[in-house]
Amino acid sequence: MSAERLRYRTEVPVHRYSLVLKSDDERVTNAVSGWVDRDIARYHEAGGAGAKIPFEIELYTSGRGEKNSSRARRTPRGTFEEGESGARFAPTGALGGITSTGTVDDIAPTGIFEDVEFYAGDKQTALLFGGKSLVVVCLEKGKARGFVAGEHLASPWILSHRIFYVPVLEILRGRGAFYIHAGCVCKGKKCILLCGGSGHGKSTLTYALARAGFSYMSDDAVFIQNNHSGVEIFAFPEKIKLDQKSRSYFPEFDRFEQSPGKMEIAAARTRIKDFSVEGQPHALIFTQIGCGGKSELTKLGRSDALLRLIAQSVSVASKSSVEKHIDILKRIAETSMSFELKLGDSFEGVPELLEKTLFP
Amino acid sequence: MDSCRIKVRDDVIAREIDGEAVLISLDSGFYYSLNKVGCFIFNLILKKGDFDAILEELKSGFEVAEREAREDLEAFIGSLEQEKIISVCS
Repeated sequence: MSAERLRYRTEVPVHRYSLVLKSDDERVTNAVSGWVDRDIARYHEAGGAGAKIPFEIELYTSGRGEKNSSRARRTPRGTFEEGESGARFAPTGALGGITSTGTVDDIAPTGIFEDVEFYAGDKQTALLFGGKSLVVVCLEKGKARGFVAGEHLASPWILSHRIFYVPVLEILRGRGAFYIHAGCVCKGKKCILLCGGSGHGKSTLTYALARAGFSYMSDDAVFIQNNHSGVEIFAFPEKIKLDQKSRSYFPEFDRFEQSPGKMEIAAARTRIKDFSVEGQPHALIFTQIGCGGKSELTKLGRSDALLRLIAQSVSVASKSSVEKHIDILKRIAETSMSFELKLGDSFEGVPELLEKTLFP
Repeated sequence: MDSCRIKVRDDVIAREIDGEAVLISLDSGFYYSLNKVGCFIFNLILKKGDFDAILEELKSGFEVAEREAREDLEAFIGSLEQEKIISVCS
């Protein structure tokens, strides 16, 4: 198995970075291509000066049509083993910049997030997905290489949202860009982060604001990073996700299929006209489902805001990495206006309320 | 709890904001906030690490009687220890 077999390729621009995914199976690259919103990605392609910093993710499979009869396959790069307990990849020697300290068993377990196990080494992180697929990330070089188990190839969601995206999160974390579970809209370069648990109206509010004229960045997740002028915020160019209840607030979705689950909607099919690639934090809105009636906005203290931001930031990482993450969150809490928004019966009037409060 | 050393555990991250503190335990994944008084005491734990020394600072800083200060401090230290934020050794 050599790099020449990685004949399928897709590239995702994310702010000043370019995520280059290569695989020997088109199901892997198709899953990621299908997830990306190409209209939003065009803004990322056009944004920023100079060449983008490339991050390479190489995902091997056992190959279509091949029997999984051999348990171990030695390659110039390492050994893939597929057994009853899952897949193992033991990199040998220097692997295009990924330096091996032994097999994945020699790397200390760091934690588990949902079905992903994290193992941290000195300069690399190993990620085990459902005990079957394995990706090793070299934090210094911004590269990831791994093996996708056959059963995961049948799920575009697992391929894109887990086996591709979690290594991307690790690579970005290695570059000092940290994840927050939050929607984001902007006015110029001033970002409003919309935070809240699942079902608290975050994505719906993000869409309502973008539809009302705010510039759209993301409905679900952003990255925060220190730069020379403060904190910058950017996001992955993925499609907007709204469930049936959220869609029911907006007549433009009446003609859509009435399925209850979350639907991924390309930006071109919505009423969003303006998109942001990056900006600086300006305000934090923590959404809650209210008891009906009108929506209410309540000011929050900065320590309360920091605590709530921490709750939205998943972190299975070393102490020093978590400290860096929290320091950026603290900077955001200190420099942003923070509010809790109790959502009423509808989103009517909410964009105007936020516009008036946040941009007097 | 007299004359005992109090130490913040290695897996705990603490940050102060507006005179209050936010604590994260990496081992448990739980996070906490301390109000201004709690933050004041937590900073004393970091600086002094000794129950008696912290008690003296509390009494003078808040002009509170010995007995009340001791009871409140013991309760607070007990809570932090129970949440595995600190370790207490005599």
